[in-house]
Amino acid sequence: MLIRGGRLGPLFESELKLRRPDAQVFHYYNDHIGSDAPWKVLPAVEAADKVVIATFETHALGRQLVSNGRVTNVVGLSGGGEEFIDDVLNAGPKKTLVIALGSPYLIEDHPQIQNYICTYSLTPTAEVSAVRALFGEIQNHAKLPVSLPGVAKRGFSLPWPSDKKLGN
Amino acid sequence: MVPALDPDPSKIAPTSPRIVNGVLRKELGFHGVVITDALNMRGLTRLYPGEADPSGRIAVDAVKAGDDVLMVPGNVGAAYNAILAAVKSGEIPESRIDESVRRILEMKAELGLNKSRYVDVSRVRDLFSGSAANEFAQQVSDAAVTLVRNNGKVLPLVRSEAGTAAQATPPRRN
Repeated sequence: MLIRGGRLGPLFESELKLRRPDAQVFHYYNDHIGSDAPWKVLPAVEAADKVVIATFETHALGRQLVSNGRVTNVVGLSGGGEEFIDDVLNAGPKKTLVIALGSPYLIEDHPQIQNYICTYSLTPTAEVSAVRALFGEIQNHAKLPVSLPGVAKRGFSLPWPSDKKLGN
Repeated sequence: MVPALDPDPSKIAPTSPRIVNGVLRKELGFHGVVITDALNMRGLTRLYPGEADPSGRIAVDAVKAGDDVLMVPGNVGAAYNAILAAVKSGEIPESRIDESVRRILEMKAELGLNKSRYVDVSRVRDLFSGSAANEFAQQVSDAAVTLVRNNGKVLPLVRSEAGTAAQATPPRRN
C-alpha cells in the first residue's frame, strides 16, 4: 500500500507494482484534487499487513502553516495533509513505513514514525531507489548527511535487513 | 550569512573575505572561478541601509572578498564605476583584478572557448542523457538511500510470486 503527497511518483508506483501487483495504492495530493478519500484509505490501512507512506515533500522557508486556526510553523512542508499522515500513522504505527522522498526532516513533524527511510531527492532515480530499498535490493552504507533533532545525529544509519529473515 | 564561518553580521558569503578568500580558496584550496549569487538580492542590499543605491559598494566588497564574476548587480553601470574608482584610489589593487581576469581566461581556455564558442545543440541530448549518465545517476541515488528507523521490522517487503521485477526499469527522463 502506498500513499503519497504531491503530483510526483508515477515511477515509484510502477516499480512497486512490478514487484507487488497486489499492492493497493492510494494517492493524496496537497491540493486534494484527485485524492482518494480518507474514508476509503483508513479502513484499508487498518486491514493491511504493511503500509508504506511515500512522501514527496520539500521544506519551504517563510511558509506559515495554519492548523485549527493557529499558525503552527514558519518553516514547514510544502503541502498540507499533515493531519492525514498522522491519521494513517496512528492506525498502525509499527506496521507503517514512511519513505521521505524530498525533505528528510519530515519525521520532525511526525515523531511517532517507527520505520523511516530517506532518499533526499524527488528525482525519478530516487523513486527507483526507494522501491529497491523497500524490497531489500539495496545494501549500501549510506549515512544521514544532516542531524534530525531528537531522532538521529548526522552520520547515523541502520544496516539494511537482509531478505532472508522475514516474509510477509 | 554563515555565522560559523564569518561572525560579521554585515557580510554574507559572497561579500565575506573570510569565506571566499579564507575558507574557499585557502582552506579548501579552490583555485577556480568564483561567481557570486545575485547581488541585487534583498538579503544583501538590506545590509547597506545608508545608501540609496548600494550596487557600487556591494560590487567593490565582492571583488575584495575574492569573487571573480559578479552576478546581477542591481545597477551594472554603478557597479562598474565603483570598481574602477576603487582601483584608481588603491582600495582594490590592480593585481586583484588581474588575478580574476587570469582565472576567467584560464577557465575559458580549458573549455576550448578560444576555438569554439558555441554549443552544438543537436548533441546536447546525447551528451547529457545517455544511458551511462542515467546509470551513474541511479548508482548515486541507490548509494544515498538511508534507513533511519526500523522499529517495526517491516523491511524488507517481499515480492509476490506474480511480481517479476528481477530487473528494475531504467530511470525515466522528466
